[in-house]
Amino acid sequence: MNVTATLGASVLITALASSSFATLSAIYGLQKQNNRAILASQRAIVATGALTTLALFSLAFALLSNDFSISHVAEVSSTNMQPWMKWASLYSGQPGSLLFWTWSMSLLMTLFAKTTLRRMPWGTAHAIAAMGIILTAFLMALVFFASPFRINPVTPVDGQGLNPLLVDPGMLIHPPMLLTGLVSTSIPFVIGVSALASGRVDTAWLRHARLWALASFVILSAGNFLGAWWAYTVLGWGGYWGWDPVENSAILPLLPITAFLHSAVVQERRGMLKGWNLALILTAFALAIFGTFNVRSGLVASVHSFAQSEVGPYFLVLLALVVATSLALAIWRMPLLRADHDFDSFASRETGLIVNTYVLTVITLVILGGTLFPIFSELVNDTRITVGPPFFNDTTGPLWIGLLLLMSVGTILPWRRASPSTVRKRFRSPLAMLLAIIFALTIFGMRNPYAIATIAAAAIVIFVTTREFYLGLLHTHRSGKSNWLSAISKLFERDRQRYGGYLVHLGAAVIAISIISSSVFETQVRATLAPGQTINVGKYQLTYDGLRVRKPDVNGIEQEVVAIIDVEKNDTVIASLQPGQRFFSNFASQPVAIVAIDGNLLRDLYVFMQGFEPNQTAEIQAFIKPLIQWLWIGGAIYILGGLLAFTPIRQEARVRDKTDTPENSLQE
Amino acid sequence: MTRKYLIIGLLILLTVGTAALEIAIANPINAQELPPELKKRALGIEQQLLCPQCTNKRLDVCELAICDDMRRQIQQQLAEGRTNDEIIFFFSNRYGQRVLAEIPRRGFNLFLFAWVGASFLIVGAGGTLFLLQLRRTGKKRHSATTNTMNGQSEDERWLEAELTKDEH
Repeated sequence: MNVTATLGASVLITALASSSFATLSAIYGLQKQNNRAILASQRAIVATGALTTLALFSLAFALLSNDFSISHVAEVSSTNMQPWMKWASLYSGQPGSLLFWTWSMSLLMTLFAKTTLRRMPWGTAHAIAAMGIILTAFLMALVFFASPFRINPVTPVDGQGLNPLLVDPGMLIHPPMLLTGLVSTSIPFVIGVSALASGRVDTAWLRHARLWALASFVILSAGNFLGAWWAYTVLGWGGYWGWDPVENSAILPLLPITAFLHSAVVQERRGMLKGWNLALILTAFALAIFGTFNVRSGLVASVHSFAQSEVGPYFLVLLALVVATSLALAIWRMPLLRADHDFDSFASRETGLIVNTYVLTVITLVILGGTLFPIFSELVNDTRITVGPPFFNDTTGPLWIGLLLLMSVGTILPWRRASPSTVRKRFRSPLAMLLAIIFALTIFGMRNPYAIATIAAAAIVIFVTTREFYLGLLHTHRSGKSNWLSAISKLFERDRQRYGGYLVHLGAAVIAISIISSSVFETQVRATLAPGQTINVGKYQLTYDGLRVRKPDVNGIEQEVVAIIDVEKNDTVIASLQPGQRFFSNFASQPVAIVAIDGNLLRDLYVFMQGFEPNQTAEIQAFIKPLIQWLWIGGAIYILGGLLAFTPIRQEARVRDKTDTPENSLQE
Repeated sequence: MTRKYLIIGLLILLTVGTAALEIAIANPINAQELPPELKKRALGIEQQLLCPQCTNKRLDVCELAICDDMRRQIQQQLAEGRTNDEIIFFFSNRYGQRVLAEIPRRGFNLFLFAWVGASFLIVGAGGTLFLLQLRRTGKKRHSATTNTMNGQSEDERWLEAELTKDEH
């Protein structure tokens, strides 16, 4: 008997029992008004969290002790893998990632039960029941369809090892971040469902949902950025985003979450969009489930692999249940979802925020359609097609530019109603600047309309946002007689969500400029070189000096073949690059690229080796990608903004709870 | 006499011809000797095609052997004087539409573009209607409650303060 596997499996079964108990006890407590039953159900959620943690530890122990009698361990790990790399084995493969999903979700739910839940007495039981159902659904998949603790009929001497693409330090942080991001959409979903089920659809749920949605937004965005960075530095195709179905699944839930964060402000300030907010938050979770199902079932590869997958159909049913429950609840509570403030004027910040959520919705629908269409084509038309990057770029490109414009418009316009004179005054300089930038770019020879539009729109966002920061600082500085440094912290203290949000906009604008420059003005060169030969890429001369073979002998790597390349500019050597290919002993047909980058803030010189011959000739591809490093800098600004907006809200909420805002006292 | 020379001449011609043909078969047009503008066109074509085995990987950057073959064929067909469209058509015929990076805008695929159009229309029209209706009901209620609105709630005052803060 395998002790680790038995422990892991039995712990999972106990977790399933615990989450089922949480569900039933919460429903019972709600019906009988029995507080002890509700308290018990809350503790059962915490217990489920503890139990899944124990299951995760069991699997980690099995991986570290090379227990290849467990089939998951044999599939994703091997004796010569470094211990830290086994962290990546933990969540690779179907059962592993599902366990990680469930574990991470149960921890978030425990955190939620221990913090926010106490402050929403109106929906405690509803929330616990919702969490219990979701946990039960995932634990059922783990226990019955994809157990990570299945035993091999015959114990192999060594494991297969991790999939070559995943043997990279980037894999230690990107997947957990992304998975946690997807999972975290479950908490706002739970809050939304409890609001609907309990009938408290006023602003009480919104404040909590916003906090958790903000957390979700930050984690999910970070997961996507890290994924882009991993793709850029590991996959070896010169890009970071390919509109691959897996990537689409990762970005889809982020869009309604972003829309929600914007429209939640409108509801908080103006009491409008109650139904819309609920719809967005419920959609985000449905899309997160869709993403998991899409990636995990193999549906992305082909309908046929879906039919062979065990969890695929199960997740399809789960997804249908989530959508059906959400719809039913929303229809039931429709009468409560009326606006209780007035929409005064189209010339207002509200309009900017609302239209922004519309644009995000269209982007979501288009990406969803593009991701699913190959499946329809195969099912209905019996033709396998690919919906590639050109489709997504052409259809969503103008929408992204529209979002940039709305960022400026929303920031410039005041709440409720702007008088024509205010509008004129505030739009004068940004508009003048917009025209000036377009004119200047055209004069300097830029002809690509997308590039001109994006750069101009992003520059205006940077201008308007910086102006807003400057005005705020000036105000704080003058009124508080404080120095500039403390004025900055005071500014964020005064309205962290707002200024944090502005910082996110600033990051997004920087990202937009980087994306458009690195793709539109990219240079790509390819050559087959014999040792001693050179190629020119832009102003750079690459000289190929022959191949070297390295044998690292860790993580299943058999050998690495690298090309030695000297980079010269104006006859001085500025860098030596070693792009190559990495070969794995257990995955002979799957060599992985070793990308070499010489980068600075102006451009990356990105080189990879596509192939080589025994006679030392090598096929080299080189890209020059202007301004690409700003993608990561912009990403950092974006995440920093999200974090700044996130951290202090909890204190603020506490203060507000004590002083009690009028809207709150009215409702109680 | 003449006939003899004729036969010898023919034999020589035949030998030379066969030899030339053999050399030609043994050494297909060397890809590396493509003129630069054809190389550029080859890269352009490769960027419009996808690897038939990977999901969504562009042909020009895929390192699989099958893609190496496809790239060689592109260069050969270019050297033979085929047009870009002919070459792309050749590959989509051979491997199916899934090797096309850009989805063809015809036939069944038009449903995808219809979906895009419908998304724009429904969200756009629905959104505008919603805003208009919100504004109409807002106005109606506003006129009905103007009198009671004089005693501003604390919420309203807080809002007012926020608004003036924005205006500075």
